[in-house]
Amino acid sequence: MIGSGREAQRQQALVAALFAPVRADAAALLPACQAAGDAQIRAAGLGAYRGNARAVAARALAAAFPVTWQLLGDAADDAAVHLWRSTPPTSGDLAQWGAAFPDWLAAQSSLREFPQLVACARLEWAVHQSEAAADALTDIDSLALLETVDAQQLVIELRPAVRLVAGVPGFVEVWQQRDLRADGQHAHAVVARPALIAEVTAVGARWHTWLAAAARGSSLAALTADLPPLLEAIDTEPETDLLSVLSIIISKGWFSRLVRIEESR
Amino acid sequence: MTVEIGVGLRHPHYRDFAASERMPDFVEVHSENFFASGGASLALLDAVRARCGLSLHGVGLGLGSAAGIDPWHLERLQALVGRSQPLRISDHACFCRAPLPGKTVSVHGCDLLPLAFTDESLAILCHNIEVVQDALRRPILVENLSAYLAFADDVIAEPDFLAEISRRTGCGLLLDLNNLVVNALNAGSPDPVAAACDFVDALPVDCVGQFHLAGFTQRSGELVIDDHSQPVSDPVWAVYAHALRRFGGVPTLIEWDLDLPPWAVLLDQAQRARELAVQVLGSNPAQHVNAELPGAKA
Repeated sequence: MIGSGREAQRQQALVAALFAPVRADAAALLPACQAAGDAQIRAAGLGAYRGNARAVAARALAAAFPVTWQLLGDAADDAAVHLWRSTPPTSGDLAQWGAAFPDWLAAQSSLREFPQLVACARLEWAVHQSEAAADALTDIDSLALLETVDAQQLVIELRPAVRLVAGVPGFVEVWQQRDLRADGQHAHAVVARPALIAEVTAVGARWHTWLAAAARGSSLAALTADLPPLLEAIDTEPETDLLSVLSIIISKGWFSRLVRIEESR
Repeated sequence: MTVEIGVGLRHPHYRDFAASERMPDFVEVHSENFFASGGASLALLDAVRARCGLSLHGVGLGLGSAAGIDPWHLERLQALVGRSQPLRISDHACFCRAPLPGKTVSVHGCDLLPLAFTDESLAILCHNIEVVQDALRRPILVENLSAYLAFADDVIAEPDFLAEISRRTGCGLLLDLNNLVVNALNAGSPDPVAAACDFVDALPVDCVGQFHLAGFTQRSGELVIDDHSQPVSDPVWAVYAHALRRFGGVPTLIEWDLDLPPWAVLLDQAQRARELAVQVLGSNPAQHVNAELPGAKA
């Protein structure tokens, strides 16, 4: 805190008035700010800030969760306000706000019949994060380590933009078709950014498990031993050979490089 | 050399900007929209820099916050400035961050919240500006607010408050002429243009580094909201002419954030500003341009 504390108290009182759920409670906080003017003038001023906050919160969530926002329909604005009050932003970069939205949706009893909606929100947050992740090139030359380094000492590094999402069956299709009635089976997705725009690929559970192990830093030897018959592979054909799997994750823009364990991030 | 005229570049216009043959002298973007570590937004910024000048305008630092500057925010801004080498960097004379009752971690109010014009408030604002300028190693511009609340214990007139932050910290001012008109209207001024011009005249002539021009929404019986959703209003054009006469050929930005019109409309507004500058300053506005505008990149 800077200063004697008087301005800090004023600012805390105004922020409390901004976040207060009930308008009358908010107005009651204004005398602590020493707000000027009569009650009507103060209420109008505070109302302008509270209204703007609602609008800003709604725009921020709509930008990060465009499909979930559309699926929520008329309930979306109120959801944004509730989240804004229950989990206020702590950063001036509002793109950082919204991580708690999927859990907030999951806690709403009125939405229990729509588990795809919650999973869809988790997928959208992953997309949102992927879009902003650091750029990374694919280091094809690092594959030469396969010839010289024991697989026990190697790990696969995925690109920083890769996110793995698990949900209820069909949630990927709900997101893709922007429709809660969409038919589908996929309960796992990989989000990646091969270039500038994030892409979502529906995958089977075994792929998800294998990639999650790679993301945790399992050695290449362990990953090879665990190479499943990837029966639900992306290209529909079983992929059981390490080089085939590497080829797929390179072409999808998931792979960053092979690296010695001690040099991994 | 002519007066630099720019427009605010917002997401819906990115494609139009890329395809446009007409270019403003510079575009201004909201810094926080480019805090990503990679991806499309930073690629866009590189494309902008290849075509015209760039100003970074922040809406989230909360320079007047008694809770101080968020170190994460400043770090991201530092990285962005290093990457994009903007002509100017600006934010607002407001606060954004404070803890809620019973909490120690500050929340962000998602708005430009008004400062009291007191000595303590002035000291907090100057301290934070110096923290930012030290980190960025260059002066910034600080913008006056449109404020919907005032405080009973204000003891410093707003122009004096702004002049003093410039004097103490070496920052420049980003003078938003629309905000002056909005504040005058909300204060019930019988002549908002005259009130805004009085404000302009109360500022030192050497502290303004950029103007903002914008439109506002006015509904009967309600506060005028500075929502940047309209063309620049006639009163703001009138104040702009007055400000040009006082401060000379200061870089000028057309700001439009909501209900965005086609990109061409923004460029037309910029052209109108250019023509007005020529009309006021003559055909050679260079003679009116300050040799060293506050807040400009050396």
